[in-house]
Amino acid sequence: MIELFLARYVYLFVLMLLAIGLYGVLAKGDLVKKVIGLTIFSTAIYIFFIEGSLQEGATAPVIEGDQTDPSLYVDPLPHLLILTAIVVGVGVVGVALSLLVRLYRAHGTLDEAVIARRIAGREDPARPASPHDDGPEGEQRGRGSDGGRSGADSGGHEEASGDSGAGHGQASGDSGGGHGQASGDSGGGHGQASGGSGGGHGQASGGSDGDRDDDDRDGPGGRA
Amino acid sequence: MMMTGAYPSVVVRVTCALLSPFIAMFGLYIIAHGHYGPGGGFAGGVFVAAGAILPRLTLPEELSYSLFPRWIGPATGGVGLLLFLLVGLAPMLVGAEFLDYGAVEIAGMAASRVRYLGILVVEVGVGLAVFGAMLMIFDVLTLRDDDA
Amino acid sequence: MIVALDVILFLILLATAVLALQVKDLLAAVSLLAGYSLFAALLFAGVSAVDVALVEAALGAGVTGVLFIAAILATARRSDAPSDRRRRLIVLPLIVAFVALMLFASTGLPDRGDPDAPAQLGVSQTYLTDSLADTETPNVVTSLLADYRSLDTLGETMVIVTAALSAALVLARRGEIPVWPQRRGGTDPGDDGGTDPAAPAGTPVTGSSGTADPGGHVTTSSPTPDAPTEAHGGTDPEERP
Repeated sequence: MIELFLARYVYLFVLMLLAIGLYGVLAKGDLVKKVIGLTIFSTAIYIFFIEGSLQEGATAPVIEGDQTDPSLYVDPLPHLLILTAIVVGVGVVGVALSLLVRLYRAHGTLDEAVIARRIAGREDPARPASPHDDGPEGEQRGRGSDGGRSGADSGGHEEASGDSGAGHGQASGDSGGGHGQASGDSGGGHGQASGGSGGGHGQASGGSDGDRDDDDRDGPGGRA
Repeated sequence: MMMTGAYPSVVVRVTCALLSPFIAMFGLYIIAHGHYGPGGGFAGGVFVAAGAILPRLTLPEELSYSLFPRWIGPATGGVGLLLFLLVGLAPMLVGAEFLDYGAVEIAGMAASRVRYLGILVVEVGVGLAVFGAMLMIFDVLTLRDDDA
Repeated sequence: MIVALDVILFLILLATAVLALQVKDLLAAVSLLAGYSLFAALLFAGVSAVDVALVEAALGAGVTGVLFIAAILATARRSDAPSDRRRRLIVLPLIVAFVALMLFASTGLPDRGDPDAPAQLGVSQTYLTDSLADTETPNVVTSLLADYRSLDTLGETMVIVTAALSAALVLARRGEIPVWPQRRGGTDPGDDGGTDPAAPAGTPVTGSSGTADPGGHVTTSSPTPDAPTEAHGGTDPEERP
């Protein structure tokens, strides 16, 4: 029994870690928790590979002198594979997190169920004031000539409207290329344009005036 | 809440300001020393990126973003990848296969030495690319628009 | 490869993994995740995988945590998604089935540290024997990475750079990630993102193009109090009080 455990315990523990990671990915409602579960899962796979490279009586694959007997060193191939996999895993996490930030800007939440309902159009898209305001540089870099388009875009930021509206506002934001750049004088175009593109499901909750007030309140260096 | 910018505690600021050049230097050492010990382009690039990210977390922004401006990330990422690709293409000029550095003949140098040098250049390219990519992902995630 | 150390590290890994998923405060969860990666790095070092341990310690425990924290500060700190009981009822049997399947499959795997395992007898032997003569590189992982399997590494490097570019594509607005040094200070009418007719309006520049974006500013990084009054083109965002 002890011998069996000694020979097999790696598989046991790796399986437990895999199960935990899978549970996080599948069962957690919060998207950040899902990414954490993904990281746990992939690290468990790294451990599985690295433990598989182990050899009795072998050491790190750095050749000492000219002793090139392969039985002296552990298998370097899994090391290489996992080395690159770790780096790629971080790239995956980076992309996942940026998508999360984007989702949060559009929906104001990271609850998967709420976002899914909203995209499917089963929930009233009108939501309380967005926890996110367009930064002041958005207005500073404003372009007066693009009032309508950028207005539509910040409408997509402020609210996710209708069944097609969520896609709508988002799509216009992407194709617009200039996000939330409504300048002071195009504030009128704000609500109007978002109503038009969003299928008429509720207006942008705060115009550019409201954004500005919030930014003033935060002020510079408002690090908590 | 803001991620970047001056941290309120002077202890943290001074410690990180003192530490970050050494972290970056350690990263360079790891890249250069990859032939003989643990390390190489991937690990070294990450360490250099950590040395660039640490000032952004703790120092005033005009300082940290003048040390490592935003354009450093995409620029070095592209340059690193390009370096790798060019090293791979060099053997094709002499009729060998892609990335077969040993086929390039340099006078007075054994084929194994050429491969040694090829590994070094590739590690530098990988290090630059990883550094650029990590810095870029961090910069994008901390764009000021996010934290209202 | 001390077995007792291995087992202790695995137990710590299990504890940190469970806690990282259960804690409501996401910052605490990320700290636990960084700890998880750090202990995984110790485990790698314990089984002589020094290169992997180095990368895992730097990336898994360091940079990943920073990226997570940046994303959490940009979104919400509390994980307040209500747990869905129906979903758990579906998921738990799935996980049990997965574990059972894997347990069954693992019976065919070799014992731990078996020198005659099929994986040990393949091409790695050649790499270990020839690396020093072929490339003068004692660290076999490095010679594998950058010489024997460099096409593999080239692909991975492309994946990393592409991942960074796509993260920028998802989040950054046009000109926010400059790809070239920008002129500093002063106002320049030609450097105005608003009245630039040359740049096609529909294409966000994300840094992949390798040329300087004429409208690309280094954006202000701290909120300017007088920003609303200067909300017209031509103001260099770098000007700060």
